[in-house]
Amino acid sequence: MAQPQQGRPISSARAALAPHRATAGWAVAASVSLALLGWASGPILHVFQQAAGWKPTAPQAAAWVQDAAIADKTLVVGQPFGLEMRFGVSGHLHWAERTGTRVIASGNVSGAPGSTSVQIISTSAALPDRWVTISVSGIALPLQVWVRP
Amino acid sequence: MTRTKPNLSVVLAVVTAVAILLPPTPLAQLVGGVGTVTCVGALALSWRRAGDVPMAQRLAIGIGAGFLGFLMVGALLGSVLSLVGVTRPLSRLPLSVCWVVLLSGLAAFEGRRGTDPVRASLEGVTRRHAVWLLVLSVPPMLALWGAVTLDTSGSASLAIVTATLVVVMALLAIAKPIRRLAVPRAMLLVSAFVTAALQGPLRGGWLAGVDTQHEFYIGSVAIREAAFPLTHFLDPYGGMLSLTVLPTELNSLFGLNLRTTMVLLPSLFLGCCMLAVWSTLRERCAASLAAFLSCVFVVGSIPLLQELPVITRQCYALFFFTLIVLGLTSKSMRPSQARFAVVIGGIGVAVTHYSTAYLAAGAVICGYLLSLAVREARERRVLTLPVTVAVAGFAVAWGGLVARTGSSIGQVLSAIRADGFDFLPGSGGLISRWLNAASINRLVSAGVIRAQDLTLLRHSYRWMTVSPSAFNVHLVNDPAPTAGGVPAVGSLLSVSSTLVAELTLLLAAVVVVVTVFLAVTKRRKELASLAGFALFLAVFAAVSRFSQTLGVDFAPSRVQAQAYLAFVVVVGVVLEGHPVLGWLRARAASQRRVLLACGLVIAGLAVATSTELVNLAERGAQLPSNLSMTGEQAQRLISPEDVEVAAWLKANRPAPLLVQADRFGQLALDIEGYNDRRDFVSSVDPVIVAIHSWVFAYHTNLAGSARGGNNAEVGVFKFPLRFYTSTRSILYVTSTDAVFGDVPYDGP
Repeated sequence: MAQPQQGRPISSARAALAPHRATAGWAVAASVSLALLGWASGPILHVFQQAAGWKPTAPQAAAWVQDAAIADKTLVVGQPFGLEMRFGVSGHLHWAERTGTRVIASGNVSGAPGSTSVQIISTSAALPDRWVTISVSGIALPLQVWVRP
Repeated sequence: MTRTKPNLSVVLAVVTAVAILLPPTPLAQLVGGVGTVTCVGALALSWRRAGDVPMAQRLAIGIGAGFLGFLMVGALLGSVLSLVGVTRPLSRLPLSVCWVVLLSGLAAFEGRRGTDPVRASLEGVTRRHAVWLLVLSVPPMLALWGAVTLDTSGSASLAIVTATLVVVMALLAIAKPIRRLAVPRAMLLVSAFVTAALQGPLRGGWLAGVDTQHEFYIGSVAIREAAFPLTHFLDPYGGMLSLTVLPTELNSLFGLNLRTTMVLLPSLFLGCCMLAVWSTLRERCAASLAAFLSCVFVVGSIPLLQELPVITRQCYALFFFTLIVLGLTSKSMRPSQARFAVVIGGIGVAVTHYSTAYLAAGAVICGYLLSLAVREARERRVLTLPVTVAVAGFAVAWGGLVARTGSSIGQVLSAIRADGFDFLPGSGGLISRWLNAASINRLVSAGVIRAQDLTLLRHSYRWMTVSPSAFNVHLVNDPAPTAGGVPAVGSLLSVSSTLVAELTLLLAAVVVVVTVFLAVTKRRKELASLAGFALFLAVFAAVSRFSQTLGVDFAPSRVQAQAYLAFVVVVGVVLEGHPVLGWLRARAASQRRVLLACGLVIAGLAVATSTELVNLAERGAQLPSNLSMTGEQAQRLISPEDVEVAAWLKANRPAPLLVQADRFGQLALDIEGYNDRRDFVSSVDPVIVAIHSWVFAYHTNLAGSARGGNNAEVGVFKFPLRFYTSTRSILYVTSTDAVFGDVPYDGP
């Protein structure tokens, strides 16, 4: 009659390994689910945000003097300065330069919403000791710089 | 055949490590953040063998320990790696390596040992809890949705419905029919509290609040430098882990942006405060009474709901503060576990908010001394010498060495030396002065502001050269729209809510005195620590409420919010086994129903006041910014466009050239670090605007309104746009904002 095999029975070893196997299985399954659902969670959240009216801030039209320090202090008649404009949602901007009430230059520019465009503004025709104003479409307040003789 | 249970600790550690390594997606961020805190917290709980502690207390301490562990690992890694020459120790690579190694080690350790601390920590959490968690997470989302709708479309309907829902949830938590629904009352209260707290932070389209703008600046510097301590000292905010290490870790590990962190996390931690308070009260009181007290003192606390969600660092600190209170009061915890909770709370407070830390340290010392005085049994004492030294010592050491708060405290002491405490400022009778206390947000007329500004010009700003034409500009009052209200009902609600607030205060004061009496007369010696703790808070809250000098630096409402989190527990402790409760129980069912109805009315009034619904009903009341697009409060909010223009201004106006803005336009500049700049003056009143300064006009200014004054008094006047456009260059314009340049050298 054959003697029983020495050592731990196979069924007992399996039983000892079972919790580790269950843990490993859960860990793998949860990690894979995380990767897959995580990948999908971005678009899902995006849909919810859109439904809630949560939109990224639309670019707003803006205008500024390119070298603010110079424009603010030392501009003299004839000295040009840079005007930088950022396009709003429409992608179009109209600008007009005035000295007193007289328009001395104007133009139209187009670009992608949020992008910027630079115009060099001449002050040759500007009246000395007066404001030069640059109005930009869609913005109530004009830019203005003082021009000295 | 029984199914083999997996080791949850190992599974969670592995999944959290995977979440860190995966690209940042919303789910990975959620799993990673929650997983990290849970793994560390569960390990701490298993170390203290806290399996037998009630579930809510266990969860609160676990969250506290896990969160503190998360902060401390970042702080240690930042400090150690910078010593060995790593320039950005809190960037993604070092942090990911550190946490993946820690989590893998944890998984291997628990796997080999065969223990499962995460499962043990979550023992008692059932499927019912999970389902209600999902259901009750809808109202907080509604709150966020309501805020966005208010910002984008101007419609307040959803925000008002959400605020009403908060009141309903709070009342449901008290009312008995809730048993049939089987909703855990704690979850209902936490959800109500988080929902109300989330209505504010997103308002304006950027971040609402005053302090939060400077906090954002510190957070963005910390993320940019990815180091701790920051490479150069900015101010005490730079020493707070809540503003530096926390956002940096969340950004580096999970890609969470700073604004999301600052909107969501503080409110969630306020919800954890509610959980800790509830778990403490529930040990002492019946469920309905615990819910009633939670509603009146916590959900119904105006500063807790209206001010704190936008002071992010204090929200984290308040949660740790409630852990101290929990440790001092818990009946279920063994003394060693309670001491652990107090130490976790004390260290947590110290690294997240220094004012709260000093207050907590003072209260702990007071509690320790009283427990010594009444000779409370040493083996049962929670505030032992080592615990007290740990809490107070850590607060002083961190505040002194890391946050370097010496100058801030010096300023307060100097102010007291110069002005005294200035108790009960203002005019009127004692009752009105009592009610107004040292209110720091008083609205005054434009004339008062002009008079103050002329005084400032003569004294503080003597160096300032002002355009002569500035003195011809008169400040004109510009009152904001107020609530239309409902006649009679509004007044009744307003008077009733004031009465409830004052009676709550009175109740708190009485129970603190009673607790001290019970402890000192040795009738209930075991209350000595709590009594000393509460007594210190009561005295400090009273002094800051009535002293104008202290009120400016330690906003009394914030101190009150903090004190109430302790007082509510003290009320529960005093009421436990009190004959009054026995008398109430002995009443007939009909009488009990009347009492319940009274309780519901009181709690409803308190919560309707804290959610500011009462303001809408009161004729002439300020419209709350959480529930309205118009009104004085809404005008104070800043928009993303304001922030963008402020960034341009900073880039183009280097220090030490002077910049000016009104008191709330300044907030957009604070995001760029102007809070610390000496070359900034907060005023757009022409008489204290220097001819060589640049003036930032934020959207409310261009819409026609401006604010002046100081921390104590704010005046609203028409923005003098014509004066600025006729005297100054205009360097930046959008449809909502502008930057005015110098008055030209030989200009008009």
